[in-house]
Amino acid sequence: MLIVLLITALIIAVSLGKTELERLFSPTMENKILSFRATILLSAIFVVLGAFLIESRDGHNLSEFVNTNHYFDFLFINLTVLAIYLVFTLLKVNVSVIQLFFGGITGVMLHNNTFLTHIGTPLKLILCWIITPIVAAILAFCINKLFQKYIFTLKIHLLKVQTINRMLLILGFILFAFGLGANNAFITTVYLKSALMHSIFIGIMQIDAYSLLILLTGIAIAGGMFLIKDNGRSEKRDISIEHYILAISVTGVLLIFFSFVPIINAPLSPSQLVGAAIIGANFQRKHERINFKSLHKSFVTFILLPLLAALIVFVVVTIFYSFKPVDSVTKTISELPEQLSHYQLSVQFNLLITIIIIASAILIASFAIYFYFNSKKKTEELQKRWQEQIQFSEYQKALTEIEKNAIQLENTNLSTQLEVNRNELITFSLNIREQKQYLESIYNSLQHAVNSSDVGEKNSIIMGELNLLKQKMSYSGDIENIYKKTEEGQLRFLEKLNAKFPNLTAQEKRLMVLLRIGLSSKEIAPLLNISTKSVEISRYRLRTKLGLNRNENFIQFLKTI
Amino acid sequence: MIFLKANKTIELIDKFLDGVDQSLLLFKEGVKNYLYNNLDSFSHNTSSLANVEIESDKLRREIEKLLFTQSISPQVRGDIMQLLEQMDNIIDHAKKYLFQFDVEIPHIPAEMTQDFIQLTQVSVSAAEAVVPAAKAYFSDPLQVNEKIHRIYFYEKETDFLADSVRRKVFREMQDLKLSEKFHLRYFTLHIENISDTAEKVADLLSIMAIKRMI
Repeated sequence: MLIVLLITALIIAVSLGKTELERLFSPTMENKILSFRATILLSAIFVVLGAFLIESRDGHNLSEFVNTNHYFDFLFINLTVLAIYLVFTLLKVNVSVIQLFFGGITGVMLHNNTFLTHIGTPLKLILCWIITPIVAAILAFCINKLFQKYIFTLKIHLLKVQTINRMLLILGFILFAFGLGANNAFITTVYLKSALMHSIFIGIMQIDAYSLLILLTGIAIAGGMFLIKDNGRSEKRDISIEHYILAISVTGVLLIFFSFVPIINAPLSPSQLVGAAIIGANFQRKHERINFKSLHKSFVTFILLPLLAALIVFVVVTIFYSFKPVDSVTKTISELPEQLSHYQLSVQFNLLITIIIIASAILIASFAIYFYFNSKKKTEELQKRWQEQIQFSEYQKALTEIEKNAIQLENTNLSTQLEVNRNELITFSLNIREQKQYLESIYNSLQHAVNSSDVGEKNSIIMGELNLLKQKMSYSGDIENIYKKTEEGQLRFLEKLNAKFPNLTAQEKRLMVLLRIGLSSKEIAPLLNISTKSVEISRYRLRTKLGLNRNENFIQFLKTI
Repeated sequence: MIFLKANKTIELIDKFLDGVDQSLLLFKEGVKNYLYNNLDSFSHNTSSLANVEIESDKLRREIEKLLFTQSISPQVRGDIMQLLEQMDNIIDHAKKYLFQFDVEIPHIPAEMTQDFIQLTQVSVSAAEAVVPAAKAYFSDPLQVNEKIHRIYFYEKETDFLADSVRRKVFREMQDLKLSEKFHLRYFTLHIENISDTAEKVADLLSIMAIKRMI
C-alpha cells in the first residue's frame, strides 16, 4: 500500500514539475537566450538541491494542517488531484497542483469534521496565497522602477546588457528552481513521514528515509521538467526579457524565504507568484499590458479547481466510508512501517530507494553528457554552415566583380570606338570642305580664263592652276592640317602615350595616331609620303619597341591606351 | 572575460559604422571630383568606395554570425541585423551611384555644378547623421531622438534642393536636349536617394529606441 501511495505521490510531483515550469520556460524558449535543454538541466539540478538541502520542512504549515493519518484518505486525495490535473490539462486549463492538493486535504478535513477545529492553518495558508502575489507584484514594480530610472544613465552598450541579462537569467533560474525544490518538493509526500522510520547507509553516509523521500520527490519534479516539449506552450506572452528575469528572481526569493522562515512557512504556487510579478513589472509601463483574460484564467486555476478537488474528495470519502466503517478498512500510515517490518521489507525498501537514487543520478548524468555533445555538434554544424554561406557569398561577390569589370571594359571599348568614329567624321568633313573650297577656286579661275580675251592671260591663269594642282598633289599642306586636326582630337591619347612611352619619335607618334583613328597602311602611306611596305615595316618596329607579343592586336592596344 | 564576445561584436559594429561614414565621405568627394573634372581623383574615389563596400559586407556577415552564436534575444538581434542591413544599403547606394557617374558620364553644365555639389553635401549630411544616431541606440537610447532630428531636417532640405535643381534643369536650361535633362533628373534622384535611405534608417532607429526604453 505504501508503494501505491508513493507512486501516486511521485506522479503528482512529476506533474507539478511539468506544470509549474512549462509556463515559465516559454519566454526563454521564444527568445532562445538559453539553450532549452541546458535550462532544463540546470533547473533540475537546483530543484533536487533545493529539495534536499531545505531544513525547515518539519514545521510547515501544510504538515500542521494534515492531521489525518488514514492511508485511504491520501489515496483518494492523490487520485483526485491526478484526475483533475489530467482532465484540465487536456482541456488546456492551467492547473496548480499545490492548491489542488490543498483542496483535496480540505475535502478530507470537512468529512472528518476537523476543518473548523484546525481553521487557523488553512486561513494562514490562504492569507499567504493572497499576500505573496501582492508582495511579488509590489517588489517587481519597485525593482523595475529603480531599474528604469538608473539603467540608461549607466550608458551600458546594448550587447553588454544582453550578456548581463543572460547571466541574470541563469541566476534567476537557479533561484527559482532552488526555491521550487525547497518550497514545493515535500508537499506530495509530507504525510508519508510517519511511515518511514528507517535509514539507509551509502558508504559512511547515513541518510534518514524521509530525506531520501524528499530527494526522490525533488528528482520526480526535475523529471517532470524533462517532459516539457521544446516548442513550449501555444500561448504567446508579451513579456520583455528583463521583466521575465525580474519575475522569476522575485518568485525564487519569495519561495526560498517562505521555506526558511518557520513562522510563515507555507507552500506557494510558483506560477501564481510569477504571474503577479509580471503584472507588477508591467504595471508602470501601460495598464493595457495587464492581461485580464489571464486573470480570469487564474481565478479558475487558483479558486475553482481547488474547490472542485475539495468537493470531489469530500463526496468520494463520504461515499466510501458510508459503505465500509473506518476501523474495518483503513490502516493508518503510522501502522505501515510495522507492516513493513512484519514482512521484513525495510532492507529491500532501502535498497530500492538507493537503486532509484543511483539510477536517477546516472540518468541525469547521461542526459547531461548527451545534451552537451548534442549541443556541441549542433554548434559545430551551425558554424560550418555559416562558413559555407560566407564562402559562397564571397564567390558570388567575386563573380559579380568580374562581370562588372568585363562590362566596364566593354564600355571603355565602346566609348573609344565612338571617339575614333567621331574623329574620322571630323577628318573627312574637313577634307570635303577643303576640297570643295579648292574646286570652287579652280572653277572660278577657269571661268575667268574662259571669259578673258587675252590669250597670254588665259595661258598664265591655266599655268597657275596647273602649278597649284601639282602643289596640291604633294598633299604637304593638307597633311599638316589633317595632323593638326587629328592631334587636337587625340590630345588625351597623346598625353597618355607620352607618359607611358616617352622614347617614341614624332614620326612614330604620328603613325600611332593615324592607326588609332582607323586608317589602313594603304591610306597612311600617301599621307606620310612613304610606300605601303615602309608603313608595314614601321608598324613592325613600333610593335617591337612597345614590347607587344605576336598574339596582341596592335590597333586594339592603341585603343586601350 | 564575460564580455569577451560582446566586446568583439561591439568592435566590429563600430568598424562597420566607421565604414558607413567613410563611404559617405568618398561619395561626396567622388561627386565633387567628377564635377570639377578631376578624373584621376574620381577614379581613385570609386575604387576606394568599392573596397569599403566589400569590407563592410564582410563585417556585416561577421557581426551576423556573432549575433546568432551569442544567443542575443531574437527581438534585439533582429533589430540590430535590420539596422545594419539598412545602413549597408547606404554604402551600396553610394557605391552604385558613384559608379553610375563613372559609367554613364552625365553631362552636367558648368552653371549646375554648384547646385549638384550643394545637393550632394546636404544629402550626405543626412546620411552622416545616421552614424551617431546608431551609436546612441546601442549605448544611450534616450539620445536617439535628438540625433535623428538632424536626419529628418537634412532629408527635407535635400528634397527641397533636388526639386529646385530639377526645376532649373527643365525650365531654365533651354540649351540642353531633353535626353540630357532626363539624365540630370536621373542623377538628382540618385543623390536624393541617399538621404531617403538615411530617413528609412532614422524611422527604424526611432522605433528601435522606443522598444528599448519600454
